[in-house]
Parts: sequence; structure tokens; C-alpha cells
Amino acid sequence: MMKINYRQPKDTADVSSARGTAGKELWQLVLSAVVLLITLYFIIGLTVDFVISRISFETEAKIFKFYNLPATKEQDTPKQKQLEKAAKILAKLQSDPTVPQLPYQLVLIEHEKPNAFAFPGGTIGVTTGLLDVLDEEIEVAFVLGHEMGHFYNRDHLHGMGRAIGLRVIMAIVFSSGSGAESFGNMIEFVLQRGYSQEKEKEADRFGLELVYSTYGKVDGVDRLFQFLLDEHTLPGWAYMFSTHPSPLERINDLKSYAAALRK
Amino acid sequence: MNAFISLAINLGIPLLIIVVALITGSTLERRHYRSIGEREYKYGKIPLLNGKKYPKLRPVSEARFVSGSVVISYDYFKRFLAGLRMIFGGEVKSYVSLLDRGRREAILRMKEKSPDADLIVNLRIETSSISKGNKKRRLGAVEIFAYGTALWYSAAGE
Repeated sequence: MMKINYRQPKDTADVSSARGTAGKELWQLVLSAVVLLITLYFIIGLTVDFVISRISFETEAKIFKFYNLPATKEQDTPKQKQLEKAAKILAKLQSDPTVPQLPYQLVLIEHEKPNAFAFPGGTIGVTTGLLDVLDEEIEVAFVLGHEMGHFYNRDHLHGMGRAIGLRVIMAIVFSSGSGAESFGNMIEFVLQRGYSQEKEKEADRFGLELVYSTYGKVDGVDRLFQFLLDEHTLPGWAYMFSTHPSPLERINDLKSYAAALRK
Repeated sequence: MNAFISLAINLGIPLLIIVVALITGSTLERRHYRSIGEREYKYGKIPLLNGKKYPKLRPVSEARFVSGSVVISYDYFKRFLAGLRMIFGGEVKSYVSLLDRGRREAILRMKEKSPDADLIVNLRIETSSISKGNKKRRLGAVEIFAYGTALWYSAAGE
């Protein structure tokens, strides 16, 4: 015979093992994820570096042949003349022994923002905005030299390899569709920025050295950055999250490096 | 300006949602647990039995089916923690408290249907997940349903 003693309990039974543990859980998990991603990022970096060190410039030119677009032949437009002028400067720079032997080619990109790009295989894209801003030969030569610096350091290949590797890892690790993938994106974002800024500075130095050895002077190399400095008024800290260092930082860097070169 | 915009999109928005969900989610959870504690104390006198047999103290004058159900959704922050947990494994603590709240709330709602019952027998708790949408942006919620038979004994001396 069952019996019931009716009694008012003193307290309620609190059986949840997880009350108030969110904070601890958050730090544990975030820390582990950061460590995991940074480790994977460096493994990808090392793997990509290793693979790229085995690819010669000839092989690169062969692999990325399809990037070599047929040059647009517009007759005697002012832009075309500017581009031809830039192509002559390019040919001049190319004779320097430090420049990697790739089938260089200039492509004009219709865009008002001054910018230049290095594509795998030796194609350099310059925007119409860039040709508008730069008048002097040395100014253009530095920008082209900077892009050649990217070819020399294989930055375009490194960037591509890392981007592909990171995408694959993000897809595997953060495929749970949990909101955690945006966290992965955050870390990827910060890691990539730091890497990229360092590479831009190296390319700046290569460009400066190339201009110096070709022309014997470096006056005016920072014209583009001066223009960007006047155009943009981003606060300094915002460049922490940019792929490129701030124009002011690059100008100062160039100045100190130029001073070291002249000695 | 591009750096600014991509900064806002890539870092700001997800971070903001997680922080907002953390604040609202934990405030709601704290409030809910306080309410659960108060009501569990209030209805603590009604015994719950999950067996079919019950003590035959006196003849039963009334027996009624009682049920209570609750649907609780996780928040962005809980999902974020669970998502990270799925990489490393282990107890998904952010969901444990969610289900704990759900079960206790469902039982309380059931008891509130028969606040003067002498006891509830044959208690059952069922859980089903509600999910709708594609894999990436899925609505996630859990329904917890508690049901049983409330019994009233006839008054003493009858």
C-alpha cells in the first residue's frame, strides 16, 4: 500500500547542470576555436609556401596563360596613348636583372579609382583613374615596380593559395550553419589583413629599389600615396582592418627606405 | 571608405547580434528560472507520479486529463556556443538549460490546469523539435509537452 505524506517542500529541485555557465563556456570555446584556426592558418601558409617554392616563373607563366588577355586595340584614344607610355616604362623596368622573367602585359581597367593589380602569369592591370593621377615617368614606374614586387615575392600566388585553403577549412570546420561561421570569418579577416599589409610593404620596397636602380633617383615615387592621403580621411585605426597599410605609413616607410638606399 | 564598410559587415554585425542575444537571452533565462522557482514552490504540494498505480487513500471522486506545453526557441548566442561546441565535442551546455527550462515550464503549466488536485499520476513528458527553413538559416525551437491524469479524492468521511 502506497502512502503519501503531503508536505510543503523547502526549496525546488534545481537539476540543471548548465545554469550560469555561459560565460565560462564562451571563453573556453572561443579560445579553442582561435587556437585551432591560427594553427590551421599557419599549416596552410607553410604548405602553400612549400608548393610555391617548387613552381618556377616559367611554370607560372605556362599555368596562367589564360590570364593573358588579348590587348584592347583602340586607335589613338588619349587613354590608349597613356597605356602605351606605361608599357614603355614597363619594358624599361623589365630589363633590370632583379625582375622575374615573366611575359609581362599591361591591361587597362575602366575604373575611376586609382589602383593597379598583379594577376598570376605576369599581367598587370592599371585603372584609368591611376593613369589620370600619375603624370611623371617615375610615378608610374614605382606603381609598376610595386606590382613586380608582388610577382617577385609570389604574393599573388600566395594570396590565391591561402584564400583557397582558408575557404576549404572554413567550409569543413564551420559548416554547421550555426552562426559560428561568422566567427570564423572574423578571425580569417583579421589574419589575412595582417599578412597582406606586410606583403604590401615588401612590394613597396622592391618597387623603390627597382626605380632607383633604373632611374638613379626616387623623387616622386610617393605621388600616388600623396593623392590617396589628400582624398581619403579614414582614421588611422581603421587601417588595422585594411589589406593595405595607410598611405601616410607607406610614405614614411618609403622615405626612410629611400634614405637608406642613398647611403 | 571601403575598409570601413567591410569592417562593419564582417566584424560588427555578427558581433552585435551575438552581444545582443547574450544580453537578452541571459536576462530572459534568469527571469524564467526565478518564475519557475516561485511556481514550483507554489505547486510543490501536488505530488507527481509517473506510474499508473496510485495510493488508494480514499475513493477517487474525479479524474481528469491535464496537459501543459511550451515551445522555446534558442537564441543566436546559444546557437553560436552550440556551433563551436560541435567542433570540439562535449556537453552542449547552452542547450541543457534550454531543455531544463522547457520541461519544468511544461509541468508547471500542466499543474496550473488543476491547482487543487490531490495528485497527478501517469505523468509523461514528450519533446519534439520544430525546425523550418534551409540548413543555413534554420528556425530552431523545441516543443515540450507534459501530460498526466489529475486525481481528486472524495472528501474525508464521505
